[in-house]
Amino acid sequence: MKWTNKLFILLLLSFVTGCAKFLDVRPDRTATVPSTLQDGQALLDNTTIVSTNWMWLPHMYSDELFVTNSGYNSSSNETPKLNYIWNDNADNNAQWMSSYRRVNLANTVLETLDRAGINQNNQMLWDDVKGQALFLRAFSYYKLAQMFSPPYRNGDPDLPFGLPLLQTASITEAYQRSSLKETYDQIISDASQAAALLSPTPAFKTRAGKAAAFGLLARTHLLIGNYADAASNAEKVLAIQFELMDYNQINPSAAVPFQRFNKEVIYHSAMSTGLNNSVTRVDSLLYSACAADDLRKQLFFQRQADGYYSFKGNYDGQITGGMFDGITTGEMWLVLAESNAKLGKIDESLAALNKLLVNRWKTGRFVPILERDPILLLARIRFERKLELLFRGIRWSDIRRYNSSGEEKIELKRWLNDQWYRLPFGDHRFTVLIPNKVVEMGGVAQNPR
Amino acid sequence: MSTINPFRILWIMLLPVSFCLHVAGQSGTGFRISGRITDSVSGRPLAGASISYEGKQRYGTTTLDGSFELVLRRLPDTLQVSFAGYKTKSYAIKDTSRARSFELRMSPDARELASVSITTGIQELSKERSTGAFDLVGNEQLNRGVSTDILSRLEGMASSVLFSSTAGGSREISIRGLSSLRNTIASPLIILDNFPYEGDLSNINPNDVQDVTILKDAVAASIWGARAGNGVIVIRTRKSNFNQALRWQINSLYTQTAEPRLYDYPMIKAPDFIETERWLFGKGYYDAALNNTTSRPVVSPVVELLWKHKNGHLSTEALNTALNSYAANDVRSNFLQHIYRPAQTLQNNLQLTVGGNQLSMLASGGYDKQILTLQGDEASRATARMELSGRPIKGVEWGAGIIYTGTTSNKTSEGGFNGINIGGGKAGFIYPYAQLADENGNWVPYEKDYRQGFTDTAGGGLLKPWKYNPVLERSTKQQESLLHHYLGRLFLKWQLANFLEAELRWQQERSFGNTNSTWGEDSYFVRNLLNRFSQISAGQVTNNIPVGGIQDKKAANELANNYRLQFNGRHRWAQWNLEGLAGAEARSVVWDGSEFRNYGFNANTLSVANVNYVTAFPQYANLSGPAQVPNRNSLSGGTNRFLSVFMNAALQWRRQYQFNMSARKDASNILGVSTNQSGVPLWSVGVGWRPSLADWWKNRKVESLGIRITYGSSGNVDNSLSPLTTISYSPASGSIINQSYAGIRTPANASLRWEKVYQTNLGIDFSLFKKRISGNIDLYQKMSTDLLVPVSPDPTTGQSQVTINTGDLRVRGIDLQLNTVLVPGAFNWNIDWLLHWNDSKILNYPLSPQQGNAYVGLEKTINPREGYPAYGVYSYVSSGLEGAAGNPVGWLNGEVSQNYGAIVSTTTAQDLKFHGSARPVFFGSVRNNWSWKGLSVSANVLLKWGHYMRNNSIQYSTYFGNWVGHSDYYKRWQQPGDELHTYVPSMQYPVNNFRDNFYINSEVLVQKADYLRLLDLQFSCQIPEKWKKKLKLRQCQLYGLWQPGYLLYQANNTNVDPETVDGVRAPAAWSVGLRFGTL
Repeated sequence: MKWTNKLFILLLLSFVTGCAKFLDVRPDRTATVPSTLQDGQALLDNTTIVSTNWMWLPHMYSDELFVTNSGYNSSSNETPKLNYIWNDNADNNAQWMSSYRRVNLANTVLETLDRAGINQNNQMLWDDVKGQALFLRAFSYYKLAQMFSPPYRNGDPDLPFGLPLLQTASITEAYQRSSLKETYDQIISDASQAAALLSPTPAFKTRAGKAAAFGLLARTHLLIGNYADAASNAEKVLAIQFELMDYNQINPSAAVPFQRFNKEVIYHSAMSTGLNNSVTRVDSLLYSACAADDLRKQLFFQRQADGYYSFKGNYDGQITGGMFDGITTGEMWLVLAESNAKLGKIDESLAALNKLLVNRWKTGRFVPILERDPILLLARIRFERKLELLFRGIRWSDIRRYNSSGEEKIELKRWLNDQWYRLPFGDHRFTVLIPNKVVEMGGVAQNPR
Repeated sequence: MSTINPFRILWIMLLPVSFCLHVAGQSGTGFRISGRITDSVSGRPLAGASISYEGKQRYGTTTLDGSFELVLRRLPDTLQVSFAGYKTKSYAIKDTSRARSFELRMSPDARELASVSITTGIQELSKERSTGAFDLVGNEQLNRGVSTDILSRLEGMASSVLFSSTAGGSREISIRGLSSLRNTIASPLIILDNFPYEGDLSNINPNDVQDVTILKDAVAASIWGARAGNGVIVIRTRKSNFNQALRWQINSLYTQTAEPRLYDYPMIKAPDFIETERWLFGKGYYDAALNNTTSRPVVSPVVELLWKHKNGHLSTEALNTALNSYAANDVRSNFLQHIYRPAQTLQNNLQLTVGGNQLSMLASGGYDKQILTLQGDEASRATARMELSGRPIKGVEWGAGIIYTGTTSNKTSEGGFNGINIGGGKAGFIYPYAQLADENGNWVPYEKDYRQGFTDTAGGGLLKPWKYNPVLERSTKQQESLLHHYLGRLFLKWQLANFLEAELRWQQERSFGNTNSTWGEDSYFVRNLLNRFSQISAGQVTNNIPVGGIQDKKAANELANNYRLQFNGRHRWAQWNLEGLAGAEARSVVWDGSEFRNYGFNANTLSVANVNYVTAFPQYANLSGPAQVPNRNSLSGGTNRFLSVFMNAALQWRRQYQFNMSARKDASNILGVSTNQSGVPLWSVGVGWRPSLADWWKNRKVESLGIRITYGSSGNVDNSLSPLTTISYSPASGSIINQSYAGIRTPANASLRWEKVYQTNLGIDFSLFKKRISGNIDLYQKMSTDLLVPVSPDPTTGQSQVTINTGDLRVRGIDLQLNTVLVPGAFNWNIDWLLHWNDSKILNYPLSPQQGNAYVGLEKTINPREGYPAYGVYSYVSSGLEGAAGNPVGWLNGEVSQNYGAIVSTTTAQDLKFHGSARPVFFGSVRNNWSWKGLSVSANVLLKWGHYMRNNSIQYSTYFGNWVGHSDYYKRWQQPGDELHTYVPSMQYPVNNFRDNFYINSEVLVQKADYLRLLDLQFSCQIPEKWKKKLKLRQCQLYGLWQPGYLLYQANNTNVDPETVDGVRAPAAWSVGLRFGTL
């Protein structure tokens, strides 16, 4: 029996030494621990998370839309319905979470890049992926700040109501609210770094390129009142991508006149659906104010059976789905026009504005704007912004910006089920409450009420 | 505790150890004697029986074939033969001539308690030799059941097993309540004979099953280590016998289940439904849908008529005539006539066994056919099995087996009554006046995705018709699933020394599953897709999807390999008996799956067409924005591997005192974990004492008594989790830029650990008054720690759900099995009582949300809150209705309130009303058995007690929007004064969703769920012995089972079945079967 004992001992030994290798296989072949540049890029190419499902909150809060009684009453989703009337009972948990999901994804990519390491061969790609991640983080913070933090302009008192700024992908990291200045500093710093790293010609419009990063910087500087920086960044964008579509070339009878990823799109992103686009209607005053020779009157609006107009100028090429809320060359021309007007560069401002509008009006009908009074010129630019950037969530930031800079005193109101709902100038509800769950679990301060 | 029955003793275990003769201190010459020890009833050899001689000074044991050989030093001597479960027998040997070779027949001992053989999957042992808590569901009990799957046959047969219905309506099985707070890993580990079964449990043919052992406590289960935390169910298949002539048995069983009880649905009658629609129409509720020129959501035919009438296209008379004719319809009669039918199942099985001295064989074959209740759906299963075992030379035993299961299912139905899927989110039900066929038998279409006003004219004749009728669809499509499952196994046992045996086992499972779904060109699925991707310009149709059928092919393959090397040892000296085993195991499960779609499929020529998946094509009439052609291509695959070492030891002294211990360490290939971190050691100990086996025990009334105490740990493992951030890749079909992409699968969680369950068990086994009362009672406490819970974390993490270790759960309970013989003798009446009390409490759950809305209405899923049971029923406190408008009244900040939005969003958990657990605290079954000669009748009554249920009621938002009505509508508040006798709120427009939400989750709808159900009534009759002899049969039995689904008692007054999702009782079923043969 001795040899059998030996055999079994041998078997057992080889069994034990084989263990380590035996257990060294991945349990699911589609799953991996992210550690390569390809993994990072694949995360950033998750268009469901990165390019769609952005917050509809700014859209639902703004004055660019209204909903009829029937549309409102037949909608079953309570959260957008409450937000539509600026009701603090709305639970915006999901909106907050989907935005921070992008922050988490960006931080995951940044940590993946650390694991992947740089060498001569991958330097270009490494920079590009890092730039995309930083841009995504900055853009996410930008959008969150428009809802959950009070308006902020350079030089304002620095309130402690900024965003939690997460720097790692860990889900257990403790955090606190930053100050408003810290929030915008973070956005500008991430976007500036991204601008330096990104490729000027991204392969897809869902990936940020240099122009997208400059575009975000231009938008942010305009928001906080750094007009010189806004203008210079807008110029940098337009140096890379300036083209506008001639709206005369676009078929106004098409139900969806614009295509996804069209040539004006610098960075593509789209909101999820709050109240369905089949029940939302465009602000009637805006429709009437739109000139008959302005092609946007036909390309953006669709008359509905109830006599009101729905919006069809979505740059996502969808009717029922989420609205495009990314960055376009059109917006950049307007940023350039506005910031130059603020800086007193009236000629440059008019040039930029006319450059945009000539592509928006019927050929031969557009009379270039010659208004040299900065106040009146800025009023025209505000109108053009509302129209050009309609249903992109940008109007909400503009309302807060105009109100806090004193340019306008906008009060919002809605007529619904025989009742007025109002959001008066200066109301605390211009800043949305942080979701209760975040206050409870994250231990952060709630916005003032 | 089951009765001792001679038939079962046939199966008295073959200990995994076979023993050579072991004689201590043999010297010199003596009187060599040999013999065999067998069962007096069956003649089966008893291996491992103990023989003492020379005044209990020396011992020997029998070998595998029951034989022994002794050398006696002096004569005369007396041999004392003892064997678990048998009466100890003395045999005097006076002279060698008589004693040289003889056969000793042992008779079963009624006094012995657990003389039944059980299996843990690692070893087979007599229940007496373990301190563990086991339930054995024997062949007879299993054969009472009629289901085609084995697990369903356990209902009401083991006290620790609870079947509960879950939120999704599926039935879930649990042993001794919860051990974990996750639904996905809360199911017990299923072992088939020796290894975990990876295939679908419905592959196992119950006819091949001998018995089922349920391992309940730590000593029983912890040999399975990291996967045993939720208990273990060991299914043991029939075995062949050596030295047995050919025996056979045929079993045929037919079951018929009635049509579903659709009329039990608490629906709103058609005239009232129409009335509501008219009212809503007047309020403009449908304007948004009717004015919608993009997605064109479905509205009911009544609304279409009202719209036509409003626009002047229909006269008032015509409208009223049409509405009156609709009001006379009831959709349920249509469904019963055209969609449903009684379900039928036919099961046939043949078993053969034969055994020689060195080789034995078992073969079986089965064929089951199921005609399912939905017309057009069928399933069948063929099983074949062959097992060989041999003992070629002394000390060596081998076995080999193969089991094949082939399952096919053919499905052409479009789903049942509550599975109607109308576009625009109207999932579930249809308006009550829907028709499938008119009085003349003509099929009536209904709108599925777009409203009639659109589909009537869409395409102007150039498109495919856009109408839908579920009956007509049956002939246009087919879903065919085929699954081949093979299980092959080998074992070799080898006696290395007289105290040591090696055992090598291998088992492989392979399964190949294919599902082919084909939709013909005329199917609604194809017509709809084709139309959507069509464009019409100048009378020309452009199809962006090739014209023709569509075929989806899905494949899933799995290969599981199990290897085990195990050493079994046994040593006996004086009054001591030591048994032990140690072994190592490796498992590997490799799986892969694929799915793809063919467009332009032609089933006759097998031709397929190319399709452009990349371009986003405009949709017809802008039903949606441009969309890519749906792409079904995806691949999946993976490997799970486990390595384990285990050991187990049992020490007995004087047969009365018992000590057990076991330990196991498991490791698996978790993503992102290095090998040395992936293991977890688990262990158990137990002590037992059986005073009734002592010489001094003289109590005649208590003929048997034993007490057991065990403690130990087992675990729960989830290989899908990881301490590092992991991502998973998805195919490009889900991307708007046509790129493959990744998503975060698990976020980083450095503190991830395996769940552990510590269980204490105190058991008492007893038999009183000549077995008139026998049974066992077990008290247990399970402490589960480091529970993995899918929590919804701080939204700032960006994760909607993460699974982390948090929380401790304590489950206490009492398990009682009692067999009482009320009338012994030829007419026998006995009652089997299986009763279980179970109390679960979450001791520690740091993440318990403060908000009340995290708990209310979620009782059908695990709903953890510190200090409460896992399935807690919570409600908003209600003060009934107010008298002015019939609004429900709740409480907010200590005051009555009708601010439903604030109540729903701000009520804290402390302000909720807690009712109790949604799972029964006390459950069990009481089975009366009457038998007289060959006739027997038994009735099983199931009892569930101490839990709460939430009644469904009318929710106006889903009533208006999704056609989901509820007959509480008739009890609604309609005028002041009604609030005195109803709690159902008034119908109001516009709908306040929060009002609905508050009402449906308020305390008025919660009731006690206690019930008693007559689970089944069984009869069987054996033909008289004389006839059997003539027919040369050992048995010939006609049997039947009636499952009325009838509630004998229910605590709720709404007449709904607490067990089913919609409160609709399961339809009655009856079965009749014939079992005959020589087995």
